[in-house]
Amino acid sequence: MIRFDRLSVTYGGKSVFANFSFQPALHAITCLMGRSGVGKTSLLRIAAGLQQPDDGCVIRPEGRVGYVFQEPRLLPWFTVEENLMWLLPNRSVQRKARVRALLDAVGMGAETALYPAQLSGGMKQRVSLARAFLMSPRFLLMDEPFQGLDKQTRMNMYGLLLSLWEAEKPTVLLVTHDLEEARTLGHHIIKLTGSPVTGYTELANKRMNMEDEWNEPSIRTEQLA
Amino acid sequence: MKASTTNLNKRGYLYTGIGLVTVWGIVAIAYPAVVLPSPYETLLALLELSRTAQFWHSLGVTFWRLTAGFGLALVSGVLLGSLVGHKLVAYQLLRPAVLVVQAVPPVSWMLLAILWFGVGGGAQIVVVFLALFPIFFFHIAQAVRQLPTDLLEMAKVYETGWIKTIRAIYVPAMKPYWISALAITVGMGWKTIVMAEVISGQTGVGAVMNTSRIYLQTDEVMAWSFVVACLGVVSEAIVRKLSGGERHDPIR
Repeated sequence: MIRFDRLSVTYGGKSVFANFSFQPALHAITCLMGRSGVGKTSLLRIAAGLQQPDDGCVIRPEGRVGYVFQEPRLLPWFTVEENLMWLLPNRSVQRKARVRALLDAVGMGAETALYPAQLSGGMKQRVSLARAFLMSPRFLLMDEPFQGLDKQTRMNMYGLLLSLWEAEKPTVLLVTHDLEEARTLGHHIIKLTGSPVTGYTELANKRMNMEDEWNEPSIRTEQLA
Repeated sequence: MKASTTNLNKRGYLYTGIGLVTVWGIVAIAYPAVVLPSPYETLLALLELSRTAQFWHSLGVTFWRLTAGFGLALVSGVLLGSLVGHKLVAYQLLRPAVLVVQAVPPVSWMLLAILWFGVGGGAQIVVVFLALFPIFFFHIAQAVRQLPTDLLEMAKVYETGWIKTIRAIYVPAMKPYWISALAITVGMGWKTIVMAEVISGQTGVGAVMNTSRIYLQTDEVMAWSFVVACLGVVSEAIVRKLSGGERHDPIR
């Protein structure tokens, strides 16, 4: 299970989360929304264990974590292929085939021997996506993963994410600014509310066959005292 | 393009070398050998020296001292440099102290070291250590401070383990600093150790050079200078060859 329990977080002297609790649905895609700077990235970092809350605790699911950072974070001295290869255990067989298949899936099959510096921003982002899917994560954190991709590529990436999700049913937390994207991908759409964030609103969602209620959200509001 | 640049570089060294030796030869005609021996006389002196056991023994002694001082500086510089690279407070505390060590001329250290340890007590090793330690210290501190935290976070999330993290992130990220520190220190080490031996006398290349000076055997001083200069250049070239040039080995 995953659970954020009464989190309090200050960042640079500013309170970002205050007594915030949230339990994302397991084996579902939850899209996180909210105005920029609200603390969505902090929430993912806390979920990944990269940042500790000042107060409260996080219960993380067992198993592998995948993380698509806002920046690609590729090793500049490794080729595209090596950037994926080095993550896999040395003894795992057919790892080259798996890496190739994933790179093909993100449309980077022809660029496996190039270095990150030779790629465009969108291409690097796609390698970073392939890397996140590589280990068949049980828990996938994605921080605006499709930012800067053109529409066609983005559609392809949606398809890839959804097919991965179908195959392995990981728990996904996806930060996005794009409501359309959230509606295409998310089983749940969560909008963080308050400043500092104290609660959230769940937005209606096509996938859950609910009505469009972006402007009058409150289907469920949790505000923990 | 790259090949032709290298060729030009190599030819550049050759032309400059020939030019310098020619100028040296012409100037040497005007002066007696005791002031400026000709290139030919220097070469003869070098051949003569290389046939003596003392030549090789002195080289051995000097090389051992250099290795010891270099090794001490390397180990302590890397350890302390890594420490202060991680802790800013430690850096702020240690930096002035190391700057002082660096600011004091090696000659002063040598005189003090002789007073403290005596000429046979490793004073030369101490001076090499003090000259090279700050270079390792500052290079490694800088290398640690500029480690790519974003990539280290990524490695942590993907649970790559510390061996892979060191090989794939620490080593290549710190490599430019390593190469620079090693190239500077091996070249500087040779000059420092010989200077220290000139002052301490007794044994080693510097001591033999000083004896030659006392007996006005300028050709021997020139021959030794040539040998030491070559050793410095060659060691630096070896370091660059070993550490630089080729791309980091991918993990397969």
